[in-house]
Amino acid sequence: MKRLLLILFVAMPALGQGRPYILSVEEIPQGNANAILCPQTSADCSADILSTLQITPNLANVPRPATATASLNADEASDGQRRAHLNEALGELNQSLDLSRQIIERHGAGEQSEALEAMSDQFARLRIALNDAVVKYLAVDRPGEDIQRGEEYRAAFRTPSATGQWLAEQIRTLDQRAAARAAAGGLQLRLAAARVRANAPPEPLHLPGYDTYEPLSVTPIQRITFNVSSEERARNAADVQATAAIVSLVRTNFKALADAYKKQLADARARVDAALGAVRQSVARNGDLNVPVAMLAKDLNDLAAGASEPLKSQLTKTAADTTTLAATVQTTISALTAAQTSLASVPSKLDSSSMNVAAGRPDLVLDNVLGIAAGAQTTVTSTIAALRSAHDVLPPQLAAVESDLRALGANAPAVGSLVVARVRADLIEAIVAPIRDLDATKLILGALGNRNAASSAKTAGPVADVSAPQVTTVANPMPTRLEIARTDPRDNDTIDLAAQVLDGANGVVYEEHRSVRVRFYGWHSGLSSGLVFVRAQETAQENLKPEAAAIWRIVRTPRPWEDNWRHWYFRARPAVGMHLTTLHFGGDNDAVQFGLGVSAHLFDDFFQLGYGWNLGSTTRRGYGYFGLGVMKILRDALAGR
Amino acid sequence: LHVRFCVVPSPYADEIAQIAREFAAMDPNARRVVVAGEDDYPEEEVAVAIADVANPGAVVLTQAGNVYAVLDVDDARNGGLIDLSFAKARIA
Repeated sequence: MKRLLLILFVAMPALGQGRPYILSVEEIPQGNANAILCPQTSADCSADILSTLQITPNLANVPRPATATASLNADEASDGQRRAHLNEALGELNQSLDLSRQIIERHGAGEQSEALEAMSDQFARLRIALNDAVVKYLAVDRPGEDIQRGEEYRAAFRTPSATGQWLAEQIRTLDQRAAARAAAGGLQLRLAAARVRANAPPEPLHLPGYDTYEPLSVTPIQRITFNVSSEERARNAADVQATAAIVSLVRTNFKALADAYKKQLADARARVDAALGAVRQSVARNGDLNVPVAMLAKDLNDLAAGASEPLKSQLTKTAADTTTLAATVQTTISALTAAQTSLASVPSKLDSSSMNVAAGRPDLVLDNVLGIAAGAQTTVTSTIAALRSAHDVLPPQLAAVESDLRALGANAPAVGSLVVARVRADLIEAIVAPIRDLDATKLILGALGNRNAASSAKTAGPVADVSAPQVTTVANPMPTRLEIARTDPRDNDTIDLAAQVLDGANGVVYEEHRSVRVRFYGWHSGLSSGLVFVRAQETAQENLKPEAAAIWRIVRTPRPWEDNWRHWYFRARPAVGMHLTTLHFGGDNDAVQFGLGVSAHLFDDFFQLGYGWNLGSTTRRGYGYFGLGVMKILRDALAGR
Repeated sequence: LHVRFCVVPSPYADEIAQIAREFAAMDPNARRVVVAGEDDYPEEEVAVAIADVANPGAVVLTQAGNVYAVLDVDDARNGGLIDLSFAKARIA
């Protein structure tokens, strides 16, 4: 018995590997290098994130009863060719129409740019490819003929809009033939792909020729770049913040909370700074605006004194209106000056370092932060009210003076229209930007005190579109391609390929799944984070204290077959890069400082070494560190659970 | 600069111009149709290009103004060949 079990144990893998999968998966690396065939007897393989997958179904591999016909699709080869050409034409047509829309829009807007020229070049290439695919399709039935002078070709391009309809008709004809064959007992195939990502629902992907899903656009991915995708940035920011939270646990449990508030306060501060800058400029430009407006009123009164009716009345009215305007201008400038003074104190209130006052007393941090936010919010609210009031009152008064000046015609003082224009451009318009910035600041500061806001935002998410596109049933299996860059990919995603073979009665006779793990193979850049232990050059400043670091580094991920002694980097996984780390030279109660320097990593960012310089210090700035990629370890551990 | 599709005077000139304009409208940045009598109709280049062609329908000029192709009346009424000429002249 034991011997029988042993034989079965040894034989089972061999039995499992006896039959090749019906899906053959080839990886075509970027730049059309040599294709890499995924093992035909293994369900899983991996591919580079920038590669294209060529998926070729082969129904001859479907396990069938011995009595069945060996190849039910043998007589459909020409339809397979036709469908491949039609699909190619359809793809080129769709892309060219999409590009055409963009070109028309941008050209219509008067754009003249290299980008637009490049779009026209690409459009031309797509139209050539479309034409070529149509010719190849027609040549299947008319080998050796002058296709482009034939009636069918003319019909395909009768007008620009006729091509799509013509292609649809040809595809419909093929579908009808396929349905007829299926009814006569042939095999059909359904092929579907999905991107699988940890902690996210599977995302269906478009496989040309096998479904009606919308193709995703290509994600721009570069091997070495300082441009980091927003997702990677967010992930790394989360890692660094989480690392900072770990650091904070060492320092104080409440520091993580304070960090979150700091971020919001920094945003608010930036907006107040912008508003203050605009107000300062406006005060500097308009501080003397009182004088010309008042002078205009005086000139008008003087002219009225020496004039006779009816001009005297007109001048007197204009002078009165101008005097009212002068008073409002003066009030506005006073309001701006007051706003400048009150706003000047806000940025320092929003300075995140002010929160360190309470660092030694964690229980006070929250109250301190909310107190700061509330104080700043009061100032900001009153400033907005003053500016908005001025902004609303000035235009009607200005319009009255303008109307008066128009009525005076040639009798109006020459400087009148100039003064009016200056009030409009320099004063009214200048108030708009600060009001906008301060309004946004008010919202941020309001949100800081509103704990329900975050949960409300979460529940107001978009509703998923359930107008489901379909996976189609195909009687003429043909190769198809999946550009991984079109799957919005991330390192360690998995692309699941599922095939179902149906018989003439639409019964599933066979099903298989293959999966391709997406990896960023070769040299590539990316972000990493680390819990680092910093030792300052002057050890009294900081000596092996924990800090959080964000690192940009270049690393080489080897292919699985490089797992041998000749490829030492397979295990060592070295990386080099630059880091930005928090520092606390001078102790925990001082404001956080930042250091910038170089880093070297080993073992997939696990072990880290760095040397850098404290940006917040002018002397004895150097420091070194060793660190651990704790967040990566935690993430990997959680993913493996 | 545009690829110019110059419609040569013929009994089919209007028909040719109409269909060519439809294909030119797909890329107004790169494609243009000109007919005899218009300001930028290159009389001399067209005359030289069609000198030895029977039933000329259109002359296609590249962005640089070089003759890319001369289409006879039959080809110049063929939407596929018009589109292809525009495209190939663009990247020539």
